[in-house]
Amino acid sequence: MNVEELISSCLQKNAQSQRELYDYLAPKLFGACLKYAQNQDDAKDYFQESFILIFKNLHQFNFKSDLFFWAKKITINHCISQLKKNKNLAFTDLETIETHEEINEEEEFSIDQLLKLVQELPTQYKMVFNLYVLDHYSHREIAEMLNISEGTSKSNLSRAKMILKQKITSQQKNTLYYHEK
Amino acid sequence: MKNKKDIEQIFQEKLRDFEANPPQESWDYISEKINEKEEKKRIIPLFWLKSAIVSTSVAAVLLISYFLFNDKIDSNLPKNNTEIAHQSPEIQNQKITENNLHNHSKIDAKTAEIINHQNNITDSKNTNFSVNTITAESSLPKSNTSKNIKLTNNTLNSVEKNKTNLENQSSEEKKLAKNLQPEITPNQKNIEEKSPIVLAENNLENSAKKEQEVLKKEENILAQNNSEENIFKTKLEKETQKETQKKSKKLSVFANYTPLFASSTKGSAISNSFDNNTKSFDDNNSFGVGIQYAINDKISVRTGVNNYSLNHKTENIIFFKANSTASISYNNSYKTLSLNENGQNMVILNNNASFYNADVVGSVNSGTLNQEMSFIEIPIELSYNLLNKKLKINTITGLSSVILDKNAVSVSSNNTKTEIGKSNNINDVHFTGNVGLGFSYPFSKNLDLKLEPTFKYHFNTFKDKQNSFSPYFIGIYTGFVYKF
Repeated sequence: MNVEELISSCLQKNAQSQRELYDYLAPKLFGACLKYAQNQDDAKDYFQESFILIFKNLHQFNFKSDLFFWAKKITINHCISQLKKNKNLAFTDLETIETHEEINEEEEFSIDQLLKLVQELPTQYKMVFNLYVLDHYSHREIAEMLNISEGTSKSNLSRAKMILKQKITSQQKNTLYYHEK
Repeated sequence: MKNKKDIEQIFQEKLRDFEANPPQESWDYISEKINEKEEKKRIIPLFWLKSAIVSTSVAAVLLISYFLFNDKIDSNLPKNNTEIAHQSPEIQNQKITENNLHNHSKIDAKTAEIINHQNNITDSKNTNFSVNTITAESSLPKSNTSKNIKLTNNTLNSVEKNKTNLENQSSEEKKLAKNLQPEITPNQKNIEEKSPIVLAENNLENSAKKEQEVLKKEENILAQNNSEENIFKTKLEKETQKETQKKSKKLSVFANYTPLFASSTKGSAISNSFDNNTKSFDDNNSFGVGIQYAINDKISVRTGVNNYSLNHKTENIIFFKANSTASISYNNSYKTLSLNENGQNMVILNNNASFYNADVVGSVNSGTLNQEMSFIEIPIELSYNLLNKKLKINTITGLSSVILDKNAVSVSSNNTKTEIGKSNNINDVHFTGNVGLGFSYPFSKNLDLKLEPTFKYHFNTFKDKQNSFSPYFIGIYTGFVYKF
């Protein structure tokens, strides 16, 4: 069954096709949700809500773009809109500092470690970092999505990177300390 | 050797295409949600049906019990009256018979027959007083007196006719005279001593005179009673007429046309991104009919059916067609709008929002976003009378069940309007709280002109609970009230 047949079968509420589409997209989209959420529970909520949106808007998919690309956009948009509801959300509007954060790669970091670091970022930095670094949105697109200026987007990205670098470095020091001990 | 690595690179390598398996229960939840649409549709009319049945039956029970209760009071009144009317002649007859028995127990059979005959006549007269018991009773002693005298007269006539039995008769006369003693003057007593016949003759003359006087008096009393009775009857008729008039005027029907002046709380029913846009309502009006029942002079209940429209405009927007993927990333509003063919891939943005020219298919238009809603309203209201003169003033409080009728969303630019779909976040049934002040003035005997400025606030209009947007309006309910 090709994508077109799968979608038209899903639109006819065929349970088997719905499951097939779910199995194809779910791991990718749940992965995306985990990056934006603060924890596993939030990620599960975002994922489920996004998937419902995808199914309900499936008739709008026009086959010109990739189905995964289309579904991921909906998921990211939904995650952003949920995160934006956080009332303590305050974007740092500093002058843009072009930084090039580098660290010494002394050891390999696990996916779980990196994911935890991203999840723990303050919401505003996490959104910008994820959108720009992991999902390849431009600063202009981010500015529009988050209702901020491009400058704010850039400065929040560099702030996010600084925080991540600090955390990684301190983790490395701790590891070194334990090794030496 | 230490490798220097860009922080972006570290995260990209591991997390860019990161995949993870969602919890098992997620699919159950999703599949339930995406296939529940039909059930939901059924739930809303059921809820409405239930609430409609409950409210209608409560109203019906209240009205029926009120009518029944009222009927009991009404039917009790005439019943008692007729009982009194029926009873009073009997009581009077009993009284009369007792008196007569006491007075004439010693009189012979013939006289007794006459007494009975007289009683019957008097009784028939007494029944005339039955309506006005008090008057009838007050006239009783007088009519009894006249009766007694009449009896005497008749007895004496029979004495005259039977002259051969004069002696026997005279002895009877004596007995009779004794009976009559309390009513005879001292002079008459003297005459009585002289001769029974003279006495009888004198008595006859006196009695005749007395009888005439008493008869006249009686006639006067009768005439008086008749006139009193007539007055009473006419009074009674008037009162019953008034009562029936009052009763019937408890029920009225009305029709009204209402210009609505609507506004809303802050925010937008369509999208948060339009929260700060200028919004307005225009061409809003309502018309309807209703029925009102006055529980008493002060309080009335009423219900009816109104149809009204609310056209809500969000100004300062831009809209354009975009390619489908772009339209989703631009537009948060697709969540609250079910777009039709014209609306497919339509991007609606605040006019200060930025966008990529590359995403635009066709041209960018600036204009307004119009949300056209019309509702069928079923109010249940209580009105309390503050002033009950020619001009009546009353307060109105109540609740309305509001059923969504028309639901359309369009964009307009330079007088060109394009319907793009409908809102999917308006509840099929919601409520308004109503507070108003009513003025009514009689136009003719049964027709009142009414003017009721009423404030109505919409509750639970939108499904999205985070959306605090609520319309409200002041309607000048103007119309006629016809009283039955």
